[in-house]
Amino acid sequence: MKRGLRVSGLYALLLLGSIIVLGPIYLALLNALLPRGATADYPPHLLPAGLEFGSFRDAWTDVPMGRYLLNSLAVSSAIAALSVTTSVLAAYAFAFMRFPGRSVVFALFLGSLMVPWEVSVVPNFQTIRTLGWLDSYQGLVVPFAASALGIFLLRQHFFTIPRELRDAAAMDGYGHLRFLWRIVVPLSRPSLGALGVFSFLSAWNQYLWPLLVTNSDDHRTVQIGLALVSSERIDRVDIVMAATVIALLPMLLLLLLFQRQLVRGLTAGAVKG
Amino acid sequence: MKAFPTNARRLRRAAGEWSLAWLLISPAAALFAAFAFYPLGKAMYLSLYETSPFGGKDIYVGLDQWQRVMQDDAFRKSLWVTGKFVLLTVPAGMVLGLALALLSNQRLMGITIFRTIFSSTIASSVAIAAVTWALVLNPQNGILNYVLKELGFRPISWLTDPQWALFAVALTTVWISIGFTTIVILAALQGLPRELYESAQVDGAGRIRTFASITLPLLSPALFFVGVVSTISALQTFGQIDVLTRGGPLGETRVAVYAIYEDAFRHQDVGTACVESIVLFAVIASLTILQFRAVGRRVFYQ
Amino acid sequence: MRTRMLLAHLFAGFVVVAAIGCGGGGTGPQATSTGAPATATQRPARKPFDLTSPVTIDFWHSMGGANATALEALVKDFQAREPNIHVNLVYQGGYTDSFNKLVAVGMNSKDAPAVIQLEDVLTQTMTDSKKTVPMQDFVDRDRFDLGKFVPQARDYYTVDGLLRSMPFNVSSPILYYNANAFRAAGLDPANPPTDFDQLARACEKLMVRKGDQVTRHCIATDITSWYFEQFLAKQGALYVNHANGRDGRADAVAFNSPEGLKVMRWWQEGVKSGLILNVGRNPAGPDALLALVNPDGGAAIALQSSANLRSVVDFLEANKGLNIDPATAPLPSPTPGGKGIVLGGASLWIPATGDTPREEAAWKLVSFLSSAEVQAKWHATSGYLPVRFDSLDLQPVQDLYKKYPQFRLLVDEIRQSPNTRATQGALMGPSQQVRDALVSAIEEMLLRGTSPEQALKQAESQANEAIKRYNRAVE
Repeated sequence: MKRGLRVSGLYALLLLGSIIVLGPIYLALLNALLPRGATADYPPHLLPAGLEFGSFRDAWTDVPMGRYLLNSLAVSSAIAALSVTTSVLAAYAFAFMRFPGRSVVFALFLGSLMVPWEVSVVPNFQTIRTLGWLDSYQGLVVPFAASALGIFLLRQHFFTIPRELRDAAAMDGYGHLRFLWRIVVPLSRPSLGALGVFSFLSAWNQYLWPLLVTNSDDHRTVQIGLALVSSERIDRVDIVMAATVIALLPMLLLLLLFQRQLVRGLTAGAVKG
Repeated sequence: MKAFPTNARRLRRAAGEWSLAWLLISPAAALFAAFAFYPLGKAMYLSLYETSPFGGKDIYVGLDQWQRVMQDDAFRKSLWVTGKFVLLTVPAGMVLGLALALLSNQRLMGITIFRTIFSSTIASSVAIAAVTWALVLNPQNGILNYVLKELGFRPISWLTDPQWALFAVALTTVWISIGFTTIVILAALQGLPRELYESAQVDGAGRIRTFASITLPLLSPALFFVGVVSTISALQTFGQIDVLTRGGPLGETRVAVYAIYEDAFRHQDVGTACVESIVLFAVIASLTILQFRAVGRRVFYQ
Repeated sequence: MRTRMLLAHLFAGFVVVAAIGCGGGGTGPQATSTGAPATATQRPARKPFDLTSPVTIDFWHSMGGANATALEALVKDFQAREPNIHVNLVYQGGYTDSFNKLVAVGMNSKDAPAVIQLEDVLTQTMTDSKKTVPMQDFVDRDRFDLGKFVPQARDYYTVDGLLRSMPFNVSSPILYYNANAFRAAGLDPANPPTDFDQLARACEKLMVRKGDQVTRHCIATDITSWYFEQFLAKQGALYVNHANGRDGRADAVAFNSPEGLKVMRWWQEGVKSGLILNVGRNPAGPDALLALVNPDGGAAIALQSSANLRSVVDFLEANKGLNIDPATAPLPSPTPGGKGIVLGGASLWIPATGDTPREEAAWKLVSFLSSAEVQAKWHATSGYLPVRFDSLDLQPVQDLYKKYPQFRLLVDEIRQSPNTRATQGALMGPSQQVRDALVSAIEEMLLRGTSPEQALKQAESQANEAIKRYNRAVE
């Protein structure tokens, strides 16, 4: 009896939590499906009143949501791939190689973590403008192609790879690059995946930088596109909400498919401290 | 005499290794130099100049600019608002994340569904969150005001009432962070050693005592991590504010990053923005050091 | 009515003839210069140009809602006519966002658009940049006829005797109300209040109270300095000194005046008594309008830009069940009989990129968009007024008025507004900062109870400081 009460209490709390978490998304979907104009009704609709998918069509054709998603996908993937690559290379050098200036350079790299993005944003904008990279993929990607946190975490991980492995490989005539590619990378696949997922997510969620450097639909990311739609189509809440749902779907799908990697990516910093 | 060739060979090999090492770090080094260190120096340089709105000549004003900005009430207020925002979002987000993680760590039927639901806001982004919450918070026909009215309260102009606007933005921010905090804390919970709990049960410790004396200390690294990450992201909050309030009403949601953006890109006053960004940098850096000093050492590492 | 319209037409025509006779476009004998004298005669004439190869041009705009759809259609028409010119229509957020982006990318850089639609108050700043091609250059070369333009709109964008940008969309703040609510309150919807006193009397009937709590307010407004500026113009009062910056560069604001104070007092007292429902800073937001359809409170009247009119009628068309009979009325005047209105809105600018084919293609687009036919279609499909009177006789406009008589009112309002310094709009550099200062003052007054005198004084000193810094930087 007591246990039954406890279990139903827990379920009640779980349900309450779910309502808090899903409520806004539910309302977005609901409003996207409402007939045009019913979004302004009072009292607000809490249950679907008809299913009008026209708003989704408009959000896809009138507003180039597809293009925005594609841009976000391209930019985030490029940032993830590049930052993993640059991090692997640098972390390997810091973990497995001896060279003069190693500790100084490493300290400097870590120091770059201390320079918050908002300090550098104004000069970086000027740099990108000088390079002629405004409204381009380079401008969106290159400033984020290296990650000090990534280098730090990978270096920590590389330290867990036994030194004997390197010595044995050297005996077999493996140079550094071959060792890196054949042994280190395969051994670190989960860490690399975690870093990739983390970089992808943070690139996907960027707002200030894409807002500054894009100025056409050719390069706008989904965040900027959505923010603009919400002001441009302020008279059509149904379209704005359909666009929101469209913007949400790909990441929701990724979450469902790659939940494990995602959890690993996000907790990498916490677990290893 | 004999040692010479080996030495040379070793030297040559070492030189080869050095240059390879430098080659490997060079892409990252170049990027950090160009997009982290150079801008830091440039920001310091620009902070001493008054820039004209349409490019062209910059006038050297030196520390006068610093003096003006430090005495500027609007900027001081933005630092204060930033602090309030951190206090409004970080503890609430952590408590909520902890609660949901504890809930979804229960062994119940269908718990994985709830876990997925709780982590789902990670798929959301600031723009999505801001646009959906604008719907929830709409003063005329938003659900929140509808509920308030049904309960007999006066409706609130969430985004335009200076008393509520920052709270409303914080609400949105906490909501986005739920997914992240829950995931991290839940992962830590699942990594806790079972044996400790079993021995606690043997000792007859109650639920609350077990939580306070075992779970919480063991969770401290994860909580610390969540705290640091949430603080950093709260200090960098921009998107929600850009979509929802644009810093208004009466500057109540004009956090420091928004002030920097507004001065640099709306008022075309780059010098002022650079002073503000360096001050913010100093604040963040000292906060981080403090956080690590004060809390970091007391965190219980396994 | 008919005769008055005819007179207005004749009068407008007369002013234009006089202005063209002076080789400028100003209203006076010769528009006064603020800097170096630059008259049309001293400028090198723009060379003729034949566009032979295909050009792609960007057109940055800030139209939302029904107006965005209408603009897309116009650009499509242009494409059909000029297959050699490809137009990228890009929405850049609000006018300020768009302007900020322009300055950030460099006003005449390769990232700048060929055409940009910017808000009226940016006129002085854009002129000061010296990085735009004055529209006058094209107008003179192609003998483009400005004669049929609404004089106030044309004169707004005329600085130092040169037309700087092409007026494109004109709007004014108007009252939106539900005629059914007027009837229910025993008011005649055909005779809306025209000044503050009449408004107060009508409001007594329109407001609903439960105990001492107001459950339905009279008029919903958002906080914008635009309404304040328009209330000044209604009274014939100036916003900045030197005749609104038209007789010399403005170096101080003029709004801390009895006229300005009257507006601020009305605003504060209205919010206090519940006559006004303040929906706060809500740029381009529809909250004031939403208050009209909220049966559970809200307000009987909404003060909003006429630019939203199309979206409103479209919305109500789709929601017949709301039982709303939409009606509109001109902005009431603080004092009886005030008729002035600043005919701003936005105009089209051509950044001087030095890329001649691009500039010429831009001019083709601009001249197309300001032709009588296109303006007629624009008026009929958006919420904006046409910038020229000859558009009004065309079929699309006639059809529009037959279907939605609410639109005719907008034009009547222009015809009644005198063309004076007060209604030509204020020229000043840091208009955005000045507006920010006013908005903060209004907020301080409405939300914190600062006295109107104190609030205006504070706005004045902030605005003057901004003007001083700006003037120092450009001179």
